[in-house]
Amino acid sequence: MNRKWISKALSDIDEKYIVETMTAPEKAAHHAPERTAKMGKYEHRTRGSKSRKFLALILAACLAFALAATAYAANLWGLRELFRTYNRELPEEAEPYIQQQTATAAAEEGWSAKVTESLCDIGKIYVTVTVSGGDKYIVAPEVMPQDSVGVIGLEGDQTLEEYARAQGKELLMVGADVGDREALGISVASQTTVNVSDSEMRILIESDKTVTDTELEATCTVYASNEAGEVERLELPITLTAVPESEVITLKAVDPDAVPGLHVEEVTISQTPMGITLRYQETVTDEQARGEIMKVDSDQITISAGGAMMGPDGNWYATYSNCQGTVTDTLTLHFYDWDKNLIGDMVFEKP
Amino acid sequence: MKDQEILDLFFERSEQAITELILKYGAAIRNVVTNILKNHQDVEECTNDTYLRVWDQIPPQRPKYLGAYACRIARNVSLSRYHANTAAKRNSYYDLALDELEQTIPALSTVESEYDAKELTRYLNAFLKGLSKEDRYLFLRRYWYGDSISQIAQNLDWKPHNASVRLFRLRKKLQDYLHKEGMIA
Repeated sequence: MNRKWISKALSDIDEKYIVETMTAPEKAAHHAPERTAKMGKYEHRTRGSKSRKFLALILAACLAFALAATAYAANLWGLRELFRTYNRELPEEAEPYIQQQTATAAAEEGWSAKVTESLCDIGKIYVTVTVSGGDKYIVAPEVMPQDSVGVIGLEGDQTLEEYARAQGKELLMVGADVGDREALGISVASQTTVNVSDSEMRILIESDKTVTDTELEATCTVYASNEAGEVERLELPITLTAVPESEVITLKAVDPDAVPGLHVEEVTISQTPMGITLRYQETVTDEQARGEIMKVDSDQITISAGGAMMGPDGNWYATYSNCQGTVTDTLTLHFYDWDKNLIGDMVFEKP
Repeated sequence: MKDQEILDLFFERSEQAITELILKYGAAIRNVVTNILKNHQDVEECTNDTYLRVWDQIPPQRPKYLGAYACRIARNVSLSRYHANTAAKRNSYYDLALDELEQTIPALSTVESEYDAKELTRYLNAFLKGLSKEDRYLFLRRYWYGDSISQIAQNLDWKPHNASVRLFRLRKKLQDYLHKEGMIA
């Protein structure tokens, strides 16, 4: 099944259904006299406008409790713990290479950001950032104000904007990225967010890169938008030291044109505390055929992340990081298309 | 501001139209883009592309539902970027939702052209018409808006497991429907 056509078919769904599902259907709970918001052991109930003042006092007290309670929890959300959120473990050997970062910056609008930790591998950069809303903001990831408070780890049927108003605060939606994309050869990045309280969020930025220098100067960009869509940015400088590489070997392609659309001469394989990293330069011989490649796999090692990125020199480099397994004198990579059909195998051998 | 008033601003070629569009639907548009593209730079560019395309298309178009119209453009712009990115990136995780649908209708292997995709759209519309409002919400938030199951469960006040099971049943129902209509073998 061509997944692109499923996407296309879905894209053209009748507009009336798109309109209808822009907001959630009314829930039974909406009609209930009480609405509940919970955080940890704390629970509060609203009972209508008459008790709003009283409620505000309770909320303030409970927020203080929540912050106190999460002060401990916050320490648990370091780079290692954020890394685990995708059911993966940071190898123990890599932990000593986690760098403590100190760059902080405060925005004019009253929020602040701090880079806390980083880890740099041959093909990857991981950076953790803490964003604090202070007394002014409820901090959330890049979602809609109408989304549930569940987004920031609270239980209950309030929306984020309702919750923010109830707290007498504004809603701030934040995200972060590693800048200097061209200089570092970053083409793809993702972020994982966890709220440690309603006014503080941790972000793990994960970027693929092609530049393999052991010392890198970079900038972490933290951006925040308020409900009116006004965006403010903070730039935080960071120095990254890559974990040491060992056992770099080069294997030659038996048939450099074995996979349609690509020409690959050789692959370099290195071992770091994060696992095995594969790198090869690919020359595009047929743009359309290359576009059909969706996934690369191997029977010898697990390939969970990576892909081809254009380097600062304009060439394409494929990098697959954190692979687990063993590579000896040969390596076979399987290339699959969007429908998971095998396109071809690229076999590499020791020269 | 009402949709018709914003549309009037577009027709007057007033830049205030974009400001009002962002105020009213900016978060929804950004949400659609963010669900498909996780990269900040892509999100920002595609969000801006969406506003530009809305500006280019209205007039002459005068959509009945401005929000849905803009969200559809946002989705198309993001999917183009997604396909372009994924071809290079590979092993991207947005495939989860598509994987679910693909497993539901694996026999639909003849879809090779835009015409066939339109046929599938026609069947999907008919399928959606027969669903309850809640099921439509579940199906479209997952496969059109790209929301996570936990996010949908939160919005419906369900447990994620229940949303997951309900989605599974909906996919089975879709499979049966497409089979009955002869769209799949």
